[in-house]
Amino acid sequence: MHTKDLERYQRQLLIEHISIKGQQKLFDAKVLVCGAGGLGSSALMYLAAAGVGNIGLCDFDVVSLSNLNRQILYVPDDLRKQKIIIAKKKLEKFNPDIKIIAHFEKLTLDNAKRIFKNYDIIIDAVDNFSSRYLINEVAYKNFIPLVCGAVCECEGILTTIIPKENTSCFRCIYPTSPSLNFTSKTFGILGAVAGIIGSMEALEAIKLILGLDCLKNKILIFKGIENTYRIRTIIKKNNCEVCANNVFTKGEWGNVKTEDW
Amino acid sequence: MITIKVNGKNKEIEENESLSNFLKTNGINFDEVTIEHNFKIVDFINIANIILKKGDVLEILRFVGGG
Repeated sequence: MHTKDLERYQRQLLIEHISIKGQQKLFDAKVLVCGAGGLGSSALMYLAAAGVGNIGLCDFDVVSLSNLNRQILYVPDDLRKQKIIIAKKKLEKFNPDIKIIAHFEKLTLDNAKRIFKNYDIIIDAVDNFSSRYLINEVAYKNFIPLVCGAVCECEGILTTIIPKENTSCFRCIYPTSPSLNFTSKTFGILGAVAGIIGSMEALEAIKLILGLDCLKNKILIFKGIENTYRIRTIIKKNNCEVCANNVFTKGEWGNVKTEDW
Repeated sequence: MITIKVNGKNKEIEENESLSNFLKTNGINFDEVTIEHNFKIVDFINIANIILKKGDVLEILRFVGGG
């Protein structure tokens, strides 16, 4: 490891679970963050800070003023600009030694399969069910670990899905398709809460890279007002359309609206 | 009437009310929420079979946001 790296990562190299060996794993890792919004902003920043060597980001949206209460990658000068262009520049400036790959594509079954296969871990940081279903299914059926985080007002959830270990999946939590117009635009989000869950998504990815235990078959529920978090077991559904079935489902994720990300 | 706890607050409901009926009468679309009933995540396939009892604890969690 270079002297500069020893200094930059000095404080995390002191952590027993990381040290030089773990840091090398982080340098070599490939993580894709789907959605460069509230969750994605903090997840991307902390992955870059930790020195994850190859970070992909996928988004299809431009920065708007109402994003700025939570999407900490952007500033008012970025309004109306493509999020992934801004995010890529900022992350490269923040950590010039890592590779940032921007995927400015509307996510479909075909391109998700093509993009996902280049990564070790996927982070779901989108804001609508259609995209979550698609990401869950493509990740699961290509055996790629997936970290899912979501927020609503001052609450958040987090879970990690490990297809190779046949864990439960996002569809086990939400088996039926909700109304497609139910997106984060229909309720409030406090930026600090998105920041907490996004940071925890980055932490889950880092733990996966290091080979540490993660939230598989479990869901973490954070409640910001009450200052509580708890972990509950998710029961894997034997009849789940995704994780108990090798065939791709048809329909629900066909309406993916990546412009909503 | 019996008292249950919903998202930390006491709520009075009719006896023998099912969880699915409770959600329906309170305008909650269970497609859009995660339900924790007595500290366990509810399997939606069984939702109509769950009859709420005195002292039950419900947490109704809406999660989709991120953007």
